[in-house]
Amino acid sequence: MSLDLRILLIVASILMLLAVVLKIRKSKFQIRDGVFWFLLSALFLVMSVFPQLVMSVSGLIGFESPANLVFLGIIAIVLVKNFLLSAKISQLEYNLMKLTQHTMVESVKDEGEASANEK
Amino acid sequence: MKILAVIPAYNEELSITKVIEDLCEFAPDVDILVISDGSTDNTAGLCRDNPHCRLIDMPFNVGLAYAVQTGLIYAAVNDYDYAFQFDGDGQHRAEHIKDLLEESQKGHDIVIGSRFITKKRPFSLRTMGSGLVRAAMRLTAKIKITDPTSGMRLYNKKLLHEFAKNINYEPEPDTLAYLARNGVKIKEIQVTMDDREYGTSYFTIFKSMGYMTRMCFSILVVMWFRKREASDD
Repeated sequence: MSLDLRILLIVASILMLLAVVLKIRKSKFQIRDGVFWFLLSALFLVMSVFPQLVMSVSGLIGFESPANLVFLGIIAIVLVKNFLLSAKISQLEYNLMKLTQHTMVESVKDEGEASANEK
Repeated sequence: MKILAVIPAYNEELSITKVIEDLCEFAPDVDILVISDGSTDNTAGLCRDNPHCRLIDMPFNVGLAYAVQTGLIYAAVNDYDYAFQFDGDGQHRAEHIKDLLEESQKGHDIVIGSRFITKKRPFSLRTMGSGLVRAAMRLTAKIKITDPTSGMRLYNKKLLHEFAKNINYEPEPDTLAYLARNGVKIKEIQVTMDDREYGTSYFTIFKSMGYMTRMCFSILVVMWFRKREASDD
């Protein structure tokens, strides 16, 4: 694996970790959501510090160059994360809708009782 | 002195009534608030019919941390002096509440009921993970906690407001380490807990590993960067 790619991975690793930690510090991020980026950052670091690992796995699978494994791996991770985010957004929308409906129905119920009492 | 029992409950219809009875018997001056976290069984129904407790019935499952926080927000809004977490599955004993209160009045902000101060912790795969977390806490916050995942915790007024207000204040060991580092007084006292009589525990091997990772990330990395915004009353 070329030195350039390895340096890129280290830089990316540090930037990702910093970004997450600073967001958490500003209290705009749940710690549990930062774990993924922490693990990804650690993975990048491992790949760049131990390129022999990447090269042996890539040779085993049959890639022409270990960089291709790195690229494919990152793309695969991004796709999976994207899917999980879709699922999470879907759940959030549903929860929000449920809460909104619940609140609105409750508010009409109160009005109904109030006007019934007035009569 | 107003004291609130915060009982997060997810599908605990088999034990919740007994838990409320236990509290009524051994902690009669305490107001009881059950938070049904999107229970699909009759937990909420049982609490609604029970004159000794109040109920917050969450419209969907929000998880333990936010369920407890909801209870603490209730405590803050209704001007309680103390609030404590109590399990809805029957593992906690109400007889220890007065001990927690007594200890808190000596000047501690958070008092935790620990199973392992005088008794030895049994060795198993699960407890090895706990050992890792405890070591991380000792290393970073210089705090020795024997039962970091204990759900029996009493917060004084200052702390219950802080927990009600902030994000990332889960009732987990990482929050304890963070607060200890910031001068919050945390004390443990020995209590006895029972085993779960009904239902199954939430933790599988995958969830345990995820939990460990999250704790290590929080205690060993995040904690150094956090900025504390204590309550301002």
